[in-house]
Amino acid sequence: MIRVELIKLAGRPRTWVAIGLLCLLPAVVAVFLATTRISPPPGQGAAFLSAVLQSGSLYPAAALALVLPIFLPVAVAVVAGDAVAGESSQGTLRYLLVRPVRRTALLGAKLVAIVVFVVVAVLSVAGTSYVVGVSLFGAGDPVAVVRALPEVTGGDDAVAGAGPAGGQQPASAGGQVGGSDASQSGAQPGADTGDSTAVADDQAARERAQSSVSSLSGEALGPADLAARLLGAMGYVVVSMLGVAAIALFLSTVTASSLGATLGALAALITSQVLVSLDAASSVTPYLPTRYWLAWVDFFRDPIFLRDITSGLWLQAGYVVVLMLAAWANFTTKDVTS
Amino acid sequence: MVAVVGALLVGVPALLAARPGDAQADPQELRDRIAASAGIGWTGYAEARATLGLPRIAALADVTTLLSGVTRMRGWYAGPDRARTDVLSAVGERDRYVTPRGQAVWDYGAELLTIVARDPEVRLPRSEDLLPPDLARRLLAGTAPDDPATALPARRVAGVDAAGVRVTVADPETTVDALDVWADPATGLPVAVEVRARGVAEPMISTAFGDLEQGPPDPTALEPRRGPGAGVTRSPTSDLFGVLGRGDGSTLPAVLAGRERVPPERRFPALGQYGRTLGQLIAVPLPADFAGTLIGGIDRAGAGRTLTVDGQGSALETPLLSLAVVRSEDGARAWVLAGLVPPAALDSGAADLLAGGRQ
Repeated sequence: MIRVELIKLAGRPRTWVAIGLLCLLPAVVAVFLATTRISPPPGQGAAFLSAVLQSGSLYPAAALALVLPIFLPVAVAVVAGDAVAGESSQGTLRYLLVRPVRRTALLGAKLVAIVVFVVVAVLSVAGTSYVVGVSLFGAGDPVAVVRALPEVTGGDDAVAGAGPAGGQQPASAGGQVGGSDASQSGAQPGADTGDSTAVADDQAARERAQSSVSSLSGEALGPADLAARLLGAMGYVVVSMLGVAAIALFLSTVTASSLGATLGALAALITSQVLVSLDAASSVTPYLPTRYWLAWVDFFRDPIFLRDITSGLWLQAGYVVVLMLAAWANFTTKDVTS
Repeated sequence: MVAVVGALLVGVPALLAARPGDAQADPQELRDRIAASAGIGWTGYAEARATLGLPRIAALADVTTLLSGVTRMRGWYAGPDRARTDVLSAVGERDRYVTPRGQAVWDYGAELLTIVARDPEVRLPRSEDLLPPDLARRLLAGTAPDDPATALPARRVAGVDAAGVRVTVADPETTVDALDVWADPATGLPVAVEVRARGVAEPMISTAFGDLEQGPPDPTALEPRRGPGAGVTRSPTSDLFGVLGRGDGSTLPAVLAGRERVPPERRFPALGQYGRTLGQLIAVPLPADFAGTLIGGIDRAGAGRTLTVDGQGSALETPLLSLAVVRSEDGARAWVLAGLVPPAALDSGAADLLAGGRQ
């Protein structure tokens, strides 16, 4: 039955439109960042947006930060809210249940399908943003950064920033693309180092490129380390979305209107977001579904800060258990008339 | 049934967290043990909540936000000269490393490692001062030995069954009413602190560990790091008072509001520390234009009180901390004056500064 649900999910255009839109937002932001090179001031704006100017390999993290607060939960709520109520409003639920299908199994299959959707959505966002990030900002390889710059910008102080780290080949790189400002500022550090040191510097540049991403604590992250942390963050974001999915799925068993279930889940999230930011509500904040959403950033601290991540996992597990029980109790005893 | 499961999931952790501790300790003994706990190493996470309600003053933004909100900190502490504190935000962090050779501050947002030669003893409050062990030891050092210590009910904090002690401050020259400290009775390491001001029911500052492991921290965590591509800068001091304190201290009188000046620290002649108890006053000469900026900032915030002195003065007062900027009539001399003192002490201190500077 899970296979049936998955095929149904994959067959719907809206699934792919939702995922496409999710991937589009980070891409649009990346294009703006790359063309203007105006990053948010330190400590403001979405996480990692300043850092991606130095290395595009961090862009999946920035993309997660962009879609997490609104876009991703909306997409999840739409899919989960439609799960049962959609069948009900189309009048297919009745026929579905006439077949020898256990209601509990149906509900389980719906949940699995939603989880698969979330996983695919998060993977797509991370994957496309990695490609977008690396092609627009470079993979942290200073040479690639300098190469990429003149194509998209006049390259001012940002190039100088990459200069001391990558003052090895930019003379040729700058000349090759022939960007007006960038070729000059790119050539500057090259002139300082001179040709004799070029070979050694080339090696050093490669080593630097290997670990050119910094954790929040200033520790250099190698590609493997960065990939592991990104995977951890993505997994955590997937789990964070389970609470939303459970709320929407529960509401979906209560009402016959998928729109109602979706909006209900979003209303719950907005309420939660408002209360989380309210000091006066601190007694209930540990129980709010969005309380630990931002904890995925803690994967990028050094050492990794697990306190909020662990709390977040338990919290989401609690929401899934309680709401799925409620959905099950409601759905198995419900008169299905449509 | 669903309601029962929900209630259990919410209730059981809440009950576990709220169950009272049963630690007991003689309050006076516990107080002594806390004072002697500077050598105890630990690794942990703490949250501090300060409700001083200071308005945001641009030049002092670090201090005003610190004392009017929640600060989340991770700490590694091996000793007074080997420690690291990370102040966490949703999008980054700011780490301060204390090493025997000096300090280093890593700012992720600015991508900058600042190597600091030395900060004075008398300085502006900063995040790590709000870690329970630091806050408890610093404030208890300012109490009088005969201030009464009474036992408080034990509390469970970060897995520690902590005994509590309340030190009630008798000195009428300070706004601090009482210090409530909970500490591990075995080691004396403070795990939670509440600072109470006179006439206010709720604590003005409360800080507690959320996670705590006692014992020496991982030494690799104590090594300052600089992110790839990040800048490094050297600074003689990381504190505003450290900068101002290098100036000329000749305008500071010997006595301020009845408090005698403590001999100044070497290389910081312009840092005026008056008294060593909680009721101490700090006075530092300010450049005239900076004083104007601060007075403007306090007045714009709309929460200031204009002092009635022979010159210009604006005070920012909270039930706990008071701060005033005073400027002579001709505008040539100016000071900042601060302390955990009642408004009267600030008034008389401001008058003494203006009078003393003239002599």
